Amino acid sequence: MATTSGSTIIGESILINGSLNGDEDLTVRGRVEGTLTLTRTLVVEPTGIVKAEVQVKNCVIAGVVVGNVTASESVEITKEGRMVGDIAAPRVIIVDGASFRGRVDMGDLELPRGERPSRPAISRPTARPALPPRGARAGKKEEAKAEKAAPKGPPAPPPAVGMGAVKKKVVVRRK
Amino acid sequence: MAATSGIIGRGTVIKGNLSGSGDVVVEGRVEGTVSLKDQLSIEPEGKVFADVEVENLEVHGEMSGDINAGDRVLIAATAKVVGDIKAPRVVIQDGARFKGSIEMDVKLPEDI
Amino acid sequence: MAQAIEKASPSRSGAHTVIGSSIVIDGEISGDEDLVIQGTVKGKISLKESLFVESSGVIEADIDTANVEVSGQVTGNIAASDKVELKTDCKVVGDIRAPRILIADGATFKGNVDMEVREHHKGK
Repeated sequence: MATTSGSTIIGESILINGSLNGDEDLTVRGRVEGTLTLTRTLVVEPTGIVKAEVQVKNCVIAGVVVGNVTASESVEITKEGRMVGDIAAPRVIIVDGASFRGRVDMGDLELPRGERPSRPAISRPTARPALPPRGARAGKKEEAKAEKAAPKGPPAPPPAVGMGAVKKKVVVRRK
Repeated sequence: MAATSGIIGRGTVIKGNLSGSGDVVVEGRVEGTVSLKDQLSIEPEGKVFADVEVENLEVHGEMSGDINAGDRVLIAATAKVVGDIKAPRVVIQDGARFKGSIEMDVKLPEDI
Repeated sequence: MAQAIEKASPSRSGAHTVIGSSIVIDGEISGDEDLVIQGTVKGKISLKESLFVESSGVIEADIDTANVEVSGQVTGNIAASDKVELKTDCKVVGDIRAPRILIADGATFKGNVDMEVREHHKGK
C-alpha cells in the first residue's frame, strides 16, 4: 500500500480534537473536532462526524458536519449528508435527500432584491445591466415611483402610478 | 399531479398576490406574493420577486424572496435565487446560483 | 523510505488511519485502531492499538498506546502496554515505559526507560 502524495484517512474509531492542517486530501470516517484547514479535498464519509470550522478547496459531505464550511471551489452534500452551519463557496450542490440547515453564500449575485412591494425599497443602486427589453424599462420607472410612494404591506400593490405603462394582458389559461 | 392552471407568459408582468391551486408556470415576471397549493415552476426566462408559499417549487430562472414549501424546492442549474428557504427537501443543482439560508429538518446524532 | 511505508502499513490488523505527510495536527488524538503517522502531531496520542510513526512523522506529544513503532521523530513520553520499538534512524527524546522495548542499531534515544516486569511478558 504505497501511500503516494498522501491521502489521509481518519478511521472510524479515531477522534481528533484540535486543529488539523494539511496539503492533501482527507477522508474522515471517524470524528474531528476543532478546526480543519486543507488546501485540497475533504470527504466526510457516512460514518464521519466533523464538528469544526472547515476551510478547504472542495468538500464532499456524506456524513455529519456541524460548523461553517468555506470552500474555494465546491461543496457537495450527498443524500446521506447532514450539515448544520454556513456554506461559503462558489459552487454548492445539495442532492435530493440531503439535510441542511444554515446559510449558503455563493458570492455576489446580481439580483435586485428590493423590487417587491412587500419590502421597503432599495436605497442602494442595483447592478443590473442586462435586462431583457421586454417591458422592463417601463417597469423600472414604475418601481422608482413606487419607492417614493412608500410601499405598503404585501396585499395592495402601489396605486396605479405608471401602471398604465405596463398594460399587458395577464394570460392565465385554464386547462 | 395537479393540472397546470396558469402560465404567466413571457411578456407578462403580475404585480400583486398570486394564489390558487394547480400548477403555475412563470415565464414572465411576478412581483408580490405567491401562494399555491401545488407547484410553482419558474422557467429560465421567468423572474419572480415575491415571497412564495407552495407545495413544490422548481426554479430555472430568477427568484428573489422567501420560500416556504411543503414538499420540495429545486434550484436548477440555470437558476439564480436570493432568499431564505424553509422546506423538508431542498435540491441545489451544480451551476445554480444561490444566496440565502436553508432550513430543512436535520437529524443529528445525540453526541454532537 | 518506501520500504518503511510498506512495512508499517497493514501488517497487523490493517491500519485504517493514515495521517499523511503534509498534515499537521495540534490537539489530541484517540482511538481504538492502528494509527500511522507520516505528518506532524503536537499534543497527545492515546490509542488502544498500535501507533506507527513513519520516517517523515514528527510527534511532539505524550503517547499512550498498546504498541509503538517509531521510525521518525518523537519528543514526548511513551507509555505502551505491550511493546515499544525504536527503529534505525529514528529519534526519540522522552521517557519510555513498556514491558518490552526494542532499540535498533542506528536509533537515537535520550530519556529514561522503565520496563515493568509483568507476569505474561517476562522479557522475550
